[in-house]
Formats: sequence, C-alpha cells, structure tokens
Amino acid sequence: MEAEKILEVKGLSTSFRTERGVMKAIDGVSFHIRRGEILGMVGESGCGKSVTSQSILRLYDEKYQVKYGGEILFAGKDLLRLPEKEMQKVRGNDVAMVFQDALSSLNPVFTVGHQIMDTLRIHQGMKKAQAREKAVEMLRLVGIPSPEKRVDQYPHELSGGMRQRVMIAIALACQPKLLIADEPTTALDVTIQAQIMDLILDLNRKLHMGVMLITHDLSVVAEVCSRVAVMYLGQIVEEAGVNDIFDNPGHPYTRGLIRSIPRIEGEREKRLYQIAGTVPMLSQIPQGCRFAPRCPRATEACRAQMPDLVPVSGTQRVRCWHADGAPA
Amino acid sequence: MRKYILKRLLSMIPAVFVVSVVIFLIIHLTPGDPAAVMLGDQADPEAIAALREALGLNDPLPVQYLRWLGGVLQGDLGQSLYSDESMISMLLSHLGPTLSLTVFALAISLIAAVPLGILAARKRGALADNAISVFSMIGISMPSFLLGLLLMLVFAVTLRWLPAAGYKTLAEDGMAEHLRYLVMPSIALGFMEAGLILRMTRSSMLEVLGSDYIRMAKAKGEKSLAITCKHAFKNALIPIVTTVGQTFMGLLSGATVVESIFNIPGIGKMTITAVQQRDYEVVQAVVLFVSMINIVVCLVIDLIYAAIDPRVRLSA
Amino acid sequence: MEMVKERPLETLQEAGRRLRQEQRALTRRRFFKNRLAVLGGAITILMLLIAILAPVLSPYGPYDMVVADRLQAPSAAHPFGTDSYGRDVLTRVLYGARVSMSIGAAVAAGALIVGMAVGMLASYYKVLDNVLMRVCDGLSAIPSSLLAIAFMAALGASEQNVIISLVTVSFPAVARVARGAAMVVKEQTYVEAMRAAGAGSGRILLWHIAPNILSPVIVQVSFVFASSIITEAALSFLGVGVPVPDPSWGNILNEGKDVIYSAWWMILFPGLFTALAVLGLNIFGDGLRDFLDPHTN
Repeated sequence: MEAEKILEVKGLSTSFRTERGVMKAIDGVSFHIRRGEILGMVGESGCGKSVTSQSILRLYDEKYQVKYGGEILFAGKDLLRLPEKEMQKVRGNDVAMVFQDALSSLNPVFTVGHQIMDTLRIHQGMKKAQAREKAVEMLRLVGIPSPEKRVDQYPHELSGGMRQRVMIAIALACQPKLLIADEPTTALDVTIQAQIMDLILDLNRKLHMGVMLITHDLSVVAEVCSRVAVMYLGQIVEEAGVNDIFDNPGHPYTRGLIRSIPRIEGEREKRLYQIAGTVPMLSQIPQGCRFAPRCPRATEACRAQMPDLVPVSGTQRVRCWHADGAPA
Repeated sequence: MRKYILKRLLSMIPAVFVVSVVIFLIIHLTPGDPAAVMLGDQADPEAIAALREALGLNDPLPVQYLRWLGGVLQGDLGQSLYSDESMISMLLSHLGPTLSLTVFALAISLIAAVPLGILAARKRGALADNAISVFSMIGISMPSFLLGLLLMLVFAVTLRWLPAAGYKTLAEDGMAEHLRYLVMPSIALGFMEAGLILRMTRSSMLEVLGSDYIRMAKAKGEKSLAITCKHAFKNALIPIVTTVGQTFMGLLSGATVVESIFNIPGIGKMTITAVQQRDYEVVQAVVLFVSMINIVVCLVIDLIYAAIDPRVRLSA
Repeated sequence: MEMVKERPLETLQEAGRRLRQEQRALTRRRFFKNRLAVLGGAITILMLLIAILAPVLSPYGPYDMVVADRLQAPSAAHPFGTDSYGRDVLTRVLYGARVSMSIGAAVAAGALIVGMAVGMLASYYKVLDNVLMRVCDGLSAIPSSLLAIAFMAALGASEQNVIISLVTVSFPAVARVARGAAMVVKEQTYVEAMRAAGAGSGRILLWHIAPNILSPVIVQVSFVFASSIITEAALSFLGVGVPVPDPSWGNILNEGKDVIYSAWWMILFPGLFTALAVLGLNIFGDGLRDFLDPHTN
C-alpha cells in the first residue's frame, strides 16, 4: 500500500505584477508528494520550477508582488488559505527549503550556529544553550567535521560544499515532513554534488520525509527520484514514475530533455542533441500547446488548442495531442 | 580584530601627512606676504621684515614645514596674535560647545532618520514612502545656516519660545537651559545629515530586503518584524554606519556656520573670528585640530564597521 | 519582504480589479519619478535663466540705494521689500542668482576637469595612483567648509578665489568616481585591443576612456554644483566669500541676519531661492542617476 500524500497541489497558479503587466508564471500546476518519496521536478531554466517551490511556502511578497490561485493541501490544510501567522509555523518547521546559492542565502553577519539555532528557537522554543547543542548535533548529522568549532564560524569562512551542508542542517533542524530542495547542487563541484545528493538521499531514508527535488539535471533524477514531473513554461507537461519517464517518455519535450543527456556508454551520437529554440518569455506564451513552436511533431491541432494533462498508462500523465501514439 | 586595528592605524599615516602638508601650504603658498597681510595695509616695511624674520618666513618652504611639524608633534600649535593663552588650551576651551552641538545634531538626525528610512523601505512605493522621500530631498537641499535663520525667525523672533542665540554650559546652567539654547542650532545642523542618513537607510534596507538570505529567513518561519529588525537591519547597518562617518564630517563642517549664527563660542566661531582678525596661526591650528578629530572619528567608524561585519574583520 | 494578514477570499473579478489598480499605482510611481527629474531640470534651467536675464527682469539696479526707503516690507513697488540701505531685495536676489549660479557652474566645470584628469591618470598609472589618491584622501579628511574658509582666509575674499577654493574642496569626490569607472573601462577588451594595436596612452585616455566614464562623473558633478551653491552661500554668509556690495544669496542672508527682528523678508526670499536652486539640482542629479543606472533605488 502506498504511503499517505503529505502534499497535494491542485491547480496552482502564481501571477506576478510587473511593470509590463500581470505575468502568469505558473498556470494550473497539480502534483502530489507521498511520505518518504522523492519527487523530481525538471525542466529548463525559466520553466517555473523555482516559482512552484517558492509558492508552496508562499515566499513571495503578497502585498506588492504576487497573486496565488488554486490549492496547496498540506496535512489536510490549504496553505494558500492559511493566515500569515499560521503559515509562519509551517515554514521551516513542517516544510523546509534548501536554496541553490548557499553563500547568498546564508546571512553573512551571523554565525552558522546562530542561523541553525534560529529555526530551533522559533519553532521549538528552545533556550540558547539547548539550541546550540542541537545545532552542533545537526552539523554533525550533515557530515561537517569538528562541528563544535564550525558552529561559531561565519558563512564566508566555510567552503561551498560545507555551506550547502549548513543549509541542509538549517532545513532539517526541526525534522520537517517535507523538504524542498531547489537545485541544491548546481553551484557546487561535481564531487561535492555527489556527496550532497547522497546526504539528501540518506536523510530522506533515515527521517522518512518527502522530498521535492528541483533540478535541470536528469541524471540526478534517474539516481534518486521515484517519480518525476516535467515542467515547461509554467505547466506540468508530463508526470510519471522514474522508469516510465526514461523508458517510455510520452511528451516530445521530455524526450528532448532525455536525448540531450550526454552518454558515456553505448552508441554516441555525433553531436549532443539540442531542443530547437529557447524557452519563450512569459509575455509571449504561444497559443495552443505551449511547446508547439519548438516541437518536431507539432501539427495545426497543436497550435490551435492546448492539450490537457491526461493519463496514458498507470501513473503516467502527459500533456500532448500525440501522447497515445507511438513514440517518435 | 587586533590585526585589523593595526592595519587601519597604519593606513592613517599618509592621510595625516597629506592633511598637514595641505594645511601648511594653504597659509604659506598664498600670493602675497603673510606678514604683510597680518599687519594690515598700512604697516611699515621694517615691521613687516621683522615679522618675516620672527616667523621664519625667509627660510625655504621645506625647512619651514619641518619646523612647524616638529612644533606640532611637541604640542606647539603656534601662537595667537591676540591672546597669550596657549593654542591647545584655546582649542580645548572652545571644544565643549562644538562637541555638545554636534553630538545633539547627530542624535537628532539618527533618531529621526533611521526609523523613517526603515519605514520607507518596508512601505516602498506607498504614500508613506513617497512622503518620506520628498522629506529627505528637502532635507539634503536645506543649507544649515538657512534652516537656522528660518528657525530663529519662527521660534525666537515671532513665537518667542526659544532664545535667539547664545550658549549655556551644561556644568553651570544645567541640562534644561543647555538644551533650550542648543535645540535650534542642533536641528539646523542635523537636518541635512538626517536627509542623507534617511536616504541611505532606505536604499540599503531595500537592497537587503531583496536578498536571498531574507528569503531564507522567511522560509525558516521568521516573523516579519524579526526579519526587518534582526536579519535585515544588521546587514543594512553596514552602509549606514559609513554614512554616519561622513555625516560627522558634515556636522563638523556645518558647525562653523551654525555656531556663528547662534553665537555659540565653539571651534567654528573661533575660526571665523581668527579669519576676520587675520590670525593665521589660529586658523591653521583649528583646521589641523578639527581634521585630526575627523580622522579619529573615521577610524572609530571603521572599527564599528568591522565589529558589525565579520567579513571585514576576518579578511584583514 | 512584506507580509500581510490574510484577506477574505476574493472573487475573480475583485482580484482582477485589484490587480489593475495596483498596476496603475506602479505606472503612476514610475511616471512620478520621471516627472520629478524633469521638474529638477526645469527648476535648474529656470534658475539659470534668472541668472542670465537678471538685468532684464530686475525693476531696479542692484546697487541703487534709496535711504528713505530702507527696510520696507514687501509691497507692489518692492515685491521682496528693501534692505537696510534701501536697495530692492528682489533685484539683489535676482542678481544674486547670477553670482551664485555662475560660481556653482564654474566650480562644477572646474571639478569636472580636474577630477576627470586626476581620476583617469590614477586609474592608468599605478605609481600616480597611490600619490594622487592619498592626496585626495587627505583633502577629503579636512571638513570641506573649514578647508574652504582657510583658503579664503589666505587668498582673500573674491569671486575668483571662492571658485578656486571650492574646486579644491570638491574635485577629490569627482576624481574618486572617475577613477572607479575608468578602472572598469580600462579592463574591457576593446581598450586592451587598442593597447595591443599600439595606440598611445594619451589617445586611449582621451578618446576611449573619457567618453565612457562621463555619465557617473556627470551625476557626481551635478551634486558638486548643488553643494557649491550651499558652500558659496555659507562662505558669503560668513563674510569670507563674495565681498559686499556685490549681491550673493549668502551675503544678502548675512545682512538679513542683522535685521532679523525687523525684516523677515531679507531672510525668507534669498533663502527660498537658495533652497530651490539646490533642490532643483539635487532632484535633477537623482533623476539622472536613476536614468543612467536603473539598478540603484
């Protein structure tokens, strides 16, 4: 039997007010994450992966910046309907987040220990000494050597990999039920990337939390995720188990992404595959299927009307008029 | 931190050297004969020659400079033409009022400017923000002597609430009197600096509030107020502290004019009197003295800066 | 980041209406900002026009004394009243604009030339850099009005000397901006390429670096213009600037201070003109900076 859904996003939309008008960065995104499961969210930059993740925690400034729509159900509550005070209790406590750039995301004028202790003191009302002890323990948990010494250091005194570990320590301090990791390894060296991914995987098993892993790196997805959602231009275009995605991708965009992974074994193509064109700006969203202008299989029907995200087999859902046909 | 302090102390030396040369040259490289200027238009040539000799003006400039610098280092800042008092004791006796005036002005501008700047940043684009921006614009465009005169016109001449001019010491007349006489001069002096601090607070708060670590603080579940006051303000403080250093310089500069309007017996008043009496050694001593105070204040500001920002302190 | 109390759920129409309203507010704010910059430019041009046209605009001569009419309150004949010699204050304020604006402009031009030269040389020659920048540090360690006063004391009060001392006080700030900008430009590929192609240093500095650092320097110079008007007025107010009987806003205010109990108009009108001229330049400089570098603010 499958574990319970800890997060269920239904028809989420996020619109930004900009000087050139209202831009809908996310349009009708729906997905779920089960306890202990790692969901990979992939797509090129500008597809709305980060916006989706930050919308879950409602990090955008709602007074000036953004307007949310839809539902984000977490533990039976709709986060979008929660008063700000209640929302603060969710952030960092039930749902925690790890950002891409640890150097700019850690506050330069506080020690790393202080920044871990913040979370503990906010949510668990710990006293200073107790929080400090726990902070040292967290640093040890994320594999930082001599944590008693590191706890009093400032972010710029640590290496990039260690800073990312500190971010993970901050996120995990209150044992969240869901961890959102937004490109947690992009800014790091390849060897450090593997260590950080191992750490996340390890903690996911130990603490049995759900993880939403945002990445543009499909090889990472193949290694750690159980399910994958592919985003394109503010929409989910395909969602499936990790094996289905790689063995039987339903959407031309997914196929493009997979074909552009560099391969070490097997027959090498002469040139690395590239998806034609670039992600359009939000102000220039095409009519009909959003991928049509870049799609090798696009027809008149594609350009005229947007397809729905429809199940094709078992757990696989695809947003493509040609989805039921044979793969190209 | 000790290394940083040492490094910073060493870096003061060239500045102090340049300041001393500039001040020396101002008086000695001027067209015309200082001795003749000092003695006025009708002085007889013999008296001028005698004074030239007495002042050592016939020696080459570098010799004159070294002699003067040697004296300064031994605490001999020269001699007033009109007073037997030593220069140091003259300076010190005029320092009190200037210090009171600048400290009150700084306090007033900080108390007004920092909270308003934070408010403007939090309400960016709103009516309050625009109003505060207009206010700070007027602030930085209002010369202190003009504001001083306008305040005097309203509160002393028309309403008769406050004394028009003068100074009462803290020691003899008590705090209430001291403040009653200083309130207009302090506001006049601090207003422009308040405008500057306000703008800097607003823009550095805005920058910090848009940073990744503020988003991170929000993601950790911090309350809005804690984000502004703790996570953001300590970072925003770094450029604000620098501005306050420049502000202090502006205050020392403006004090000259404000003291002369409100007839406050401070360093500035002393300078103007010396200029009017062509008492050059006093002018020279005052400028040197005030510049040294300024350099020391800048040092203190830098140390505060380092105390706030670990990156500065540890990169030394 | 602003947080707000949760609003009751909106209908789609309400949300749309609110978004449209906020959109309008945003546009309004941009327009407001640009309009301010235009306003600043307009005030500055107006002040310059007043300075140029002072002889045409003035109802009297700046030195015409009518002793019988001394210290008259504003009236139809004398809109700004008269001073203690019976001179027309409006006339003197308009002629004062001539003196104050021309000194401000001359100082701005002087600081631009000296500051650019010093800044560019410092950026280009490592040896000069240390010397020139230490001199600038030293000059800016002396509080500006004290330095200017010391200069005036040594040189004697005259318009020309005011300009010399204010240029000395204000060029270091310009030099610092010019140096910073030139350092960036110097590293750019096309300058490297010029050097590789054998272009002379003078040629590179003058024709390739100078035009590219002009915009931040001009912004700084507009603030120098503003602060020079203030310092000139302060010097003249203290009696060490523009010598009487030539009118400048500062020395009119100084004469006004002596009669503050009887003649408010001698403070108010020259004061308003001074503040307005400075305000105009500051707003203009701000607008220019926002225009040239949209990232600030």
